Amino acid sequence: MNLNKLLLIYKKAKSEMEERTHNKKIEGKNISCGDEVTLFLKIEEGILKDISFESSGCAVSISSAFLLAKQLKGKSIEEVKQLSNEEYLKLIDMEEISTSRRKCVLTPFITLRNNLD
Amino acid sequence: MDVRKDFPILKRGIYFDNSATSHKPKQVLAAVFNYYNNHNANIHRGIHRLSEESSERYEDSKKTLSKFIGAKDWKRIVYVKNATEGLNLASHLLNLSKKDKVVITSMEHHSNILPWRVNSQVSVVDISSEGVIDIEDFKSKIKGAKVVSMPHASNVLGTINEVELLTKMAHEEGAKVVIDAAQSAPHLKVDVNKIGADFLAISGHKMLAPGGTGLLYVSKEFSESTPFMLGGGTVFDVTNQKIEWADMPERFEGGTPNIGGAIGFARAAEYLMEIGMDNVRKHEVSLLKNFFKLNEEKLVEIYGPHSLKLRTGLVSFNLPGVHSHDVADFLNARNIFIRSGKHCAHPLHERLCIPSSARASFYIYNTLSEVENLFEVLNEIKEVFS
Ligand SMILES: Cc1ncc(COP(=O)(O)O)c(C=O)c1O
Repeated sequence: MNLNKLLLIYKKAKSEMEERTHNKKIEGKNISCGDEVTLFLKIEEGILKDISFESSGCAVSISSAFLLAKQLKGKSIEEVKQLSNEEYLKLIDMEEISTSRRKCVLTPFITLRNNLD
Repeated sequence: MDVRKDFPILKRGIYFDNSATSHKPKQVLAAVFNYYNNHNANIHRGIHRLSEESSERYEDSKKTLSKFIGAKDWKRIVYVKNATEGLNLASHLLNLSKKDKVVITSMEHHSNILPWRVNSQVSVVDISSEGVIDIEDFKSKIKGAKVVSMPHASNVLGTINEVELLTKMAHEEGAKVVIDAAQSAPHLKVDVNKIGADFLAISGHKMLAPGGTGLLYVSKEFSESTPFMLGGGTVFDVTNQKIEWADMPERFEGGTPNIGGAIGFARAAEYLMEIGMDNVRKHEVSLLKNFFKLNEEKLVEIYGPHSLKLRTGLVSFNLPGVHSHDVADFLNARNIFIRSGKHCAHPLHERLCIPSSARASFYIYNTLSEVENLFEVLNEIKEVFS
């Protein structure tokens, strides 16, 4: 994903941030840069029926939360638990992110994966 | 400043991350190269010629550095691998217990928080909204303190603290004083005698020297303390019954030191003394002035003192609405290298109520036009993110 595309997604993500009806709420943080993300999940019979989010942080982490919500909606909890970091990056077209920004991209995903039980 | 030719790496881009580590001039690299090519041996051990030459050069490097920091006796200088190790060694030599009170400030780097937090009661002096130590709070907190440890200059705010006055006040209360000079020694004249501190830590790699270099100035009073790193070089004699520690500074430098690094460290100090620390300071102030002037429209929010007299050549800032990592990433794409995040100063960012900041830190090879370049790109970032 190039910078222009990222910026477009970032702007869209910022405008579409909201808290929708949910039955599970999880929060994550990337301490070193102060990124914070809250994911609102509507889970029905083991399926992520809806994902909405709120986030304060950098363009990369906010875009990642936005893409996460889009890509993982409709997937089962078991499927998400099986997903590796690399697979996630591929799914949202951010495999080429620099090492220094990996944490920013992965914060929303790791937050989600670590809180599914 | 006519030094850019000494730093071939400048062709890689505009380097504004000097507070993290500085570039190294050819002269320093040549000194290290020459040492290994022509004199290399271990010190203080052999009686052969190369060992003698190495020992001499190693001692000479301390003489140069003692001149650099105004120490009268080169034996007060203990080499460490960086300021962090220096501060840890100071904490060890002060022999603290959980009951002892140690005073630090709200503007510390983690390296001047953690060595105290684990073995004493830490009390934190507040700062003003402009990032200057609150002197009334300082006065009240140092009562009953065993140690006061503070930065000469802040790595985020740039604030230059009045360490001479603060040291005097702390001593009057009977406290020992440790100065973290990691961010001052590269940029201004540091005089340990004038400051009067008991310990003073410096990172060599932030002042043109190779990585793995640093020093801790240790006052005479602590020259009999038990070393931290025990082993070869630290003793006169060991029998199965007793240990007789060596004198300072060998006593505190266990094992084979970074001899080539020491040679480079001294050459870096010489290089800076040839330029003159007053000129280094003048140059950085001119860059700061340019930064503040270019920011007259308040493009970025600047942290730290607004009076340039009170700050070193670094500026931490935020471009409203854009995360510091995004700023740094975008600048990187234009070959401008700055730092972003919390700069190992989490409590300070909490105190400033900001999640992170971008930091441009200057040095002798930076130019006015580089600062202008920075602002051009910052304006561009503002555009594309709005
Ligand atoms: C104020 C301050 N103290 C201590 C340190 C630690 O220095 P080093 O990483 O060389 O140990 C730094 C480094 O950034 C610093 O800025």
